[in-house]
Amino acid sequence: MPLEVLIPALGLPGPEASPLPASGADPFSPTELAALHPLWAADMNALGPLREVEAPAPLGRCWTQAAQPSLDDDKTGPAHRLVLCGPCGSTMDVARRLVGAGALAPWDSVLTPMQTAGRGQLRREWISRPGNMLATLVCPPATGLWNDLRPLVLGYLFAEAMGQIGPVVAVKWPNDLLCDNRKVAGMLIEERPGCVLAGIGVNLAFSPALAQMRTDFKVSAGEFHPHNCALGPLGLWSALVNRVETGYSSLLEAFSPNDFLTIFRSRLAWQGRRVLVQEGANVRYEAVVKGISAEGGLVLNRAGREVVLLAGDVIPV
Amino acid sequence: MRPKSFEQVLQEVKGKPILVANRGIPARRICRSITEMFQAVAVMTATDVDKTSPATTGAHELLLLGEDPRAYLELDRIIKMAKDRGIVAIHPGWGFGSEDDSFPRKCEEAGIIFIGPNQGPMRLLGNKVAVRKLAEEIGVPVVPGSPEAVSIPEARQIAKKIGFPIMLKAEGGGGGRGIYEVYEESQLESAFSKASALAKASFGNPRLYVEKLLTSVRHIEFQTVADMYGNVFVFDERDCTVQRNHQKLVEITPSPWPKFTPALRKELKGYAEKLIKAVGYHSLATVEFLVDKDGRPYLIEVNTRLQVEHGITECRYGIDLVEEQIAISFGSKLRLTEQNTKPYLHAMQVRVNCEDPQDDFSPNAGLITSYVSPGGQGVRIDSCICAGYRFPSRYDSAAALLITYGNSWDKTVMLMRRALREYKISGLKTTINFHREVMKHPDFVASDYDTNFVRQHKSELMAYTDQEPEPVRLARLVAEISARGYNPFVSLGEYRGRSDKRLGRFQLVKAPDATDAAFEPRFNRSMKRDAILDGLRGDRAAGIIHFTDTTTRDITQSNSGNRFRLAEDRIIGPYLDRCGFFSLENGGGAHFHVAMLANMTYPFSEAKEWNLFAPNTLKQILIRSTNVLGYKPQPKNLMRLTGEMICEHYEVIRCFDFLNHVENMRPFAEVVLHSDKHIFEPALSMSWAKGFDVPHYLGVTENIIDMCASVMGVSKKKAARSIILGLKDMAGVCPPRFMRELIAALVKKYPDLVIHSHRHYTDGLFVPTMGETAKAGAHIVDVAIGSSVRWYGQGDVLSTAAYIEEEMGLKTLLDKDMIRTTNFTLKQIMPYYDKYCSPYFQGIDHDVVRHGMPGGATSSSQEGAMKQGYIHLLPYMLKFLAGTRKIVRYHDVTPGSQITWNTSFLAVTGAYKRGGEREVRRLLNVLDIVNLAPENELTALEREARLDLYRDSNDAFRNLLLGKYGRLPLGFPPDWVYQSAFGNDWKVAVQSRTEVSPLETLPDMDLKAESAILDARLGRKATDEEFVLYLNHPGDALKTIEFVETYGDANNLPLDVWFEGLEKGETMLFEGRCGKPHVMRITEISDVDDQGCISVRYSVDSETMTHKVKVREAAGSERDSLEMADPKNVYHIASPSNGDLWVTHVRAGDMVKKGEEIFNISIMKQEKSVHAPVDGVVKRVLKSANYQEDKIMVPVKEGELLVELGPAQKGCPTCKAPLASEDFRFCPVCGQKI
Repeated sequence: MPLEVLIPALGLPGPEASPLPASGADPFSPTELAALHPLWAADMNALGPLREVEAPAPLGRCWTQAAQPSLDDDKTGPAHRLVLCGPCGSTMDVARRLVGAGALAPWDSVLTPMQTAGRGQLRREWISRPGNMLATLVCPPATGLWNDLRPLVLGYLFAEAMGQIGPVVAVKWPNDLLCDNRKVAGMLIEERPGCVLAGIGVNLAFSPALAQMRTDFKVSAGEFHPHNCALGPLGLWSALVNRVETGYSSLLEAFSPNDFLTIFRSRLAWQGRRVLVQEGANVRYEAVVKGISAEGGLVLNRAGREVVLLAGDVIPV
Repeated sequence: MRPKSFEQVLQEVKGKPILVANRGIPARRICRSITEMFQAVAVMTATDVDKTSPATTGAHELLLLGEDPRAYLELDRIIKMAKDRGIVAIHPGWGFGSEDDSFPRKCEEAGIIFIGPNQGPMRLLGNKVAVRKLAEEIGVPVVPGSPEAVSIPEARQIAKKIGFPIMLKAEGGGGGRGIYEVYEESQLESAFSKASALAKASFGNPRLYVEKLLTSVRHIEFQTVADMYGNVFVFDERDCTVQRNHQKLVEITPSPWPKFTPALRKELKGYAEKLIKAVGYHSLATVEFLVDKDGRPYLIEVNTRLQVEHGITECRYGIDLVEEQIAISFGSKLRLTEQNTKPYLHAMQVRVNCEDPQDDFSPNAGLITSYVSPGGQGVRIDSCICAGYRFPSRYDSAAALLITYGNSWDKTVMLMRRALREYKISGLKTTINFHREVMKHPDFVASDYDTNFVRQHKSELMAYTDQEPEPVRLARLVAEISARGYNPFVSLGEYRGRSDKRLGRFQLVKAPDATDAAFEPRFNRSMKRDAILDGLRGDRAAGIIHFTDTTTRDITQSNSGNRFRLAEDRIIGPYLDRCGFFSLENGGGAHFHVAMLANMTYPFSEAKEWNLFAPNTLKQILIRSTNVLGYKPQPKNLMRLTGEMICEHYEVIRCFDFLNHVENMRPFAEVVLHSDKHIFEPALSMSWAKGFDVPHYLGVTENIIDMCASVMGVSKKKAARSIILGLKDMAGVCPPRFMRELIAALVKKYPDLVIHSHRHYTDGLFVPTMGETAKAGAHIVDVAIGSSVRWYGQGDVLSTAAYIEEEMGLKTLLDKDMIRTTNFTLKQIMPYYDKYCSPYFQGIDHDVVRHGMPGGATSSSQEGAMKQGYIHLLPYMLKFLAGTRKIVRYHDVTPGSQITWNTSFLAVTGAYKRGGEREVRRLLNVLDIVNLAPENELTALEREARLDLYRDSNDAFRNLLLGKYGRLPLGFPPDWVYQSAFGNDWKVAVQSRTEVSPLETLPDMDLKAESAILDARLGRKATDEEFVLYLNHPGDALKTIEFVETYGDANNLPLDVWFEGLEKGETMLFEGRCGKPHVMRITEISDVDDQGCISVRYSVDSETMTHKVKVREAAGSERDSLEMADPKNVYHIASPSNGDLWVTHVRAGDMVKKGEEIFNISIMKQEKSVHAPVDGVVKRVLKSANYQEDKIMVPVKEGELLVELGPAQKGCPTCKAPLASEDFRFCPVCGQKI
């Protein structure tokens, strides 16, 4: 399904007294975008000629594809919206604000070339340089175990989707994406009443050196190289969103959460390997990765005893 | 190579090491063959969990593979180790590396013989696509379909050719996954795209191929064996149609399916031989077919290894396939020919797996606590377990292969049923019970089924209860009692501790035999009602008085709270049966309830057993009119249902109504009077008080006879001849002179009426009163065996009889020696009940004539007052009782006595709470005044004060005043009582009073719906008795049903063990349900561990077991120490899930707005933000975190209270500062006037 790309020409002014400090975005033109990085130039080229439209507030005047995305022949419904905004604090905050204003629905998304306050889990810094893919996806609501398993489901589906357009991707529990044991993409899911957002960052052009990353507990970073090397952040994102959506609906339709966990295990990195576990308040220990529990937790063998990790992090020893 | 003879191979192999690269059942099976004829050295691979498993016993040596459970798959490593050890040949078994076609090549490269086929033929036959192609070439039928992946148009074309239904199979799938069924052409398009998308999502490969969907098929397979010289032998078929999700559960040879003809067998054997020969295969192989209901075969696959079900073929032919397979690998010529190898037996195998069929065959691992394997004629077993073995969770769940064989199919089935009955595995769930159901199923026996058998008959096959043998369950109960020192099920609290002094073993000493062979009971259970009543009238005319014994019901109800168990009834019942009593009262009243509440016994089953061990004497039950065997009025249809069940076990049905509202007895009269066998005994509830005089009771008797006449449709005279009139002085208050007057008047008015007098001993005048009663004309009086007589129940039989005979000059027909024998026996039993069941007051209380509190209620009320700390108020309560009986007048009989007691208790304690003992005395003073002074002499102040009397009364008392239990015998009390009990609503209450029987208004119960609820609750069909128990006392009935399912019949435990358990080192003998003796011995009882558990180690018969008994909560259990949020309280903000709290945004005292983020929980990297549900002020923050500052996350549990808010305070309208108190007139911050 084609995406309807909207580039807000006047940016998104940060609303006064907003609880979301980084929800504004700078005004931005397609030309500026193409000048940022060769990958963006390739993307803008692929997008073709643009025209201006007047979108409802708060988007205002936007550039969009000159050729309206054809609604194909059949029942695929209206195209999902992709707001490509100028440099901003964080796509998470921009997306939350747009969802609140009714401008984004499930499977719509926000993409930006640069963030000034990109964040990872627990408000860790996410280094965001032009050329890398920085996006936030509005997640559909889910119930029961599917809601609890969302981090794994998205991890699995993105790994699956990326694996189709590039090298094999493994999932480090719960949802870091690894190529060759290097982290090439990360994900952060923020759940608030009525709004679940998934932030995804993929290192396309650049990966931070070890020294730039948090000092305590980390996996070395790498880059993801799609088979089609002309694929920029926008191209990659379009390809991923479509695949993930299709995979998601088939998954929920045809499989039970339990079946899913079986499938997930096939993508789980480091099974049988000894890892260093960090849990809660500075608790660290070594254990062997055994698998995934029925609730989606990581099953570890800690000195002969089976433990299930629901929150925490692991790195190989 | 030249063919070798088998003998040459034996010589060659003898003493050489052969490795089995496997574990469990296959490893053990193959080692057996290695060591038998070949006398070779059996070496087995073993990972750490397996190195001490029972399967290793068959091996001479182990090749240790270390910790990794998947090491059996590391072929290179295994081959290297084998080479180092000098292994000459490797057998792969089944599973693990057995189907890896690189295995033979790798062995060959290492110079080791692979006991199996060569790589080439193995690869060809093992590949589904290749074998399909080969089969089509040589004319073996295959399942129609596309040879490879197809597009939609291709799929459509193929489907048209082969016909619907079809399957779309994912190329990347396998093992039953990735199969999509399409039933008609119109579905094909959408099914194809959906299946393709799914295949892509789940296997990363969207390609599909098409196959015909065979809907009703049998699975038939052929074992083949071939040597390296082109000799092939094909055995008869194995029928493996009983499957679940393509997993075989039962295998049979030959197929018992009537449609499997010799011609079809020959055809399929031919196909199998062709396939094997076509690829130059040697070793064992199995060619598998599906055969549809028209007998059309389709090849599905070829297995190039030894199979799990090979044993049944061995049994059919009397051969050893593994031996043959090993010999062939060493170059031996195939020994088996059509001439020397004939089938002659039928055989069947069931797979005994450690799985719970009732939980969707989920595997379960754990300790096998006991293991008894079947044996005997026609049984073969290949197992990998034994008692004490901890079955590992890492591998498949196969525990044993059980085979039976005989010369017919029927014999084989019967053998299997017997073997499965003998097979006992405890500690974890197995498929044994499930197989027992399969073997019973008529379709299975008739072989009328297909591969859907298990799915289609699921509900029938799963309808078994997976129960351990009763001795094991009872021993567990004893372990629980022993660990605690008290029995929690008797509901007497912690009445003793483990180290308290015990009464010691109950070892019954039998009385010298006093049986009088000539003794003939005057009445027995085979007599009809009229004969019995005529006999009673005739005897009374001759001066003979009869007795009813209440030892096992009323007297122990009154004196020891009904705790008398069926176990002890079994001891004294046979004696009581021969004492010459008119009847034995052995059921009803509270006994019925307590059977379930504390004795864990089904009361009607108890009654049934009574009639077996005491078959002669009439049995008598007590029924509480509308309440039947409960405590509140019951609908008519339930009364009748219960009544019918009562009539199955009792001959004399005594029925009373505490208000003497005769209509309330009618439904029962209807059930009982319509039988010519049962005797209806309506009873007068009696008091000795103003208004309850002889004319009053004559009036009630008149009502009773009228009602019975109307039910029977006969004259009053006839009705009076057909019943027994009971006189029920439950409090024990009516003096001899009153009874004399009353009975004389009754006899005068109804000369044919049989009178049965029942009273309690409470006032101390039992014997003289019963003497007068008898003399005045009563036919039967109630008594009990002396050693059970305390002071609340009935009096002693021998002293009462002596008084009647010697003082009154009447006669009795008692066998007094048998009574003495019974007494001797009972003396040994009573100490246990006295000690544990009635530790409170047991003496005479002549004041009962004033307070009227009946029987055991005196003792239980004292106990209640003590336990609640009001013992000092008991004298006041009894005074209140005496006074209130004069205001609200009814009988001191259940449940009236409970209502009076509760009213007094509440009135006195209520007054005490208001103003101490002074207020209590004032209340009693008011009560005295009300009772002494006539209404018109009361002052306004006194009229005001009397409203305090019933201000604390409860609903039962109010319902009584409204007439909800029935008509009050002397009319409604004065209006001020209503004013006192109902307060402002009293006029409404007076308006709504009724005098009709509650039965008139109570709607019938929906018995069908109730039955469905019970069945659902039990997960099975409840028995009729269980249903009636449940309707009468739902909670306690369920408790008892569950108890009996968990532990069995506790009446099989000795009396001391029931109350005290066993000590360490003590031995107990007990009998099971069918009289089989068992022995239990406790070897160790631990101290309480951190988890709050005591471990009891004990043996039952020859089996040793351990049971952990939880005696208290785990020390410092995390969950206990957590404060949980109240989900209904909007101010409680809980953690939404288990996870890590990493940021808290509020502190105590903060104002929060609805929707503001309060804290954030991280779980699997999903950050859940929790918002304030309402405006408020933060009262407490129970846990907080600030990860960004201190890098500390705080683990939290789902539902744990993290932040508590309070209502939002008012703020200053000008500066918005919150105001600490409602009282502020000015804002403390800006001074604004508020």
